[in-house]
Amino acid sequence: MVASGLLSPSLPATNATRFVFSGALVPESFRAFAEHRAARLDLGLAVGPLSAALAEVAVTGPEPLVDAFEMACSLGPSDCLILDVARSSAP
Amino acid sequence: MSLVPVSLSADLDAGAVTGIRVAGQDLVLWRDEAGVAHAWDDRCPHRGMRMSFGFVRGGSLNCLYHGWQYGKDGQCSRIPAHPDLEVPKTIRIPSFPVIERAGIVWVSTAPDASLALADPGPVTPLRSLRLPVSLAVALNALKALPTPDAGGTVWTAVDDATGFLTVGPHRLLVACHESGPNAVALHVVLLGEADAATRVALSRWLAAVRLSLASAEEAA
Repeated sequence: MVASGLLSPSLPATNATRFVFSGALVPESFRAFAEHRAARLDLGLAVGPLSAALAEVAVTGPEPLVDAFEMACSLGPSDCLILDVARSSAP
Repeated sequence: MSLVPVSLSADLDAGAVTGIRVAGQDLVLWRDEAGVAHAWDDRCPHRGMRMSFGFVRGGSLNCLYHGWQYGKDGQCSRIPAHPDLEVPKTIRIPSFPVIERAGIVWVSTAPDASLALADPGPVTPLRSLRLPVSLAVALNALKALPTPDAGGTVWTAVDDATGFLTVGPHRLLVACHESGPNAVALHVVLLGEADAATRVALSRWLAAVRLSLASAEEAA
């Protein structure tokens, strides 16, 4: 589980599931992939800090579709290697 | 852009699913149990599985991987692992125009595609030939096949890839689809009706095009 200090305050605080995907990322590639998958699954998406080491996002929607989003992003686009996923719900 | 011939209608039974390639794009061609043919992007939006490995149940095509069910319009209607979930309208497989005419299934990846061929009336399906040569080579070999009465064939083109071939007393419609540099399919029907012996004889005569191509290759 990710430490709460990692989560960006710019992301939605309520009714959102927050993820931190970490590994070796191409930030813009990961962003495009996450946006595409969220649109496909009709989920709300807010993208937080992105770097070559991690991507922080918050999504809103039905839990099974949030799970599908997590699965898709844990595989990621072909140029990103996701080594760990931390998930937390808003308090 | 024209629609391209992808199969004899008779070769696509109700409930059948197959993969085809049109304009460089992989599509799934399937026929629902009411008899309507559909062509979609060959990819499940869930995990990218080929829908051509899927299975038909009534009016829907189901992904083999996790059973996601798609209705005739390509819209996902059911996710078996979450039966109570209201599936978002965004989970949808792109679909493409399909026309059945002259006993042949025609498909295009362009939404406004048209078909120059007029309805020729009743036809009898003969066979599809898939050959590892160019369209020009295949058509030349077909036109040059010796006919049983040694009278030769007469080709009347409809367009670059479709035409009528007169063989003795018979008139065939030949619809071709070049899906790659050396990959062509010829879908052939006989105009009008014919008894079984005539169908078999014409079908065997058509198959001889393979031998003629092989002979030409050996000679070269």
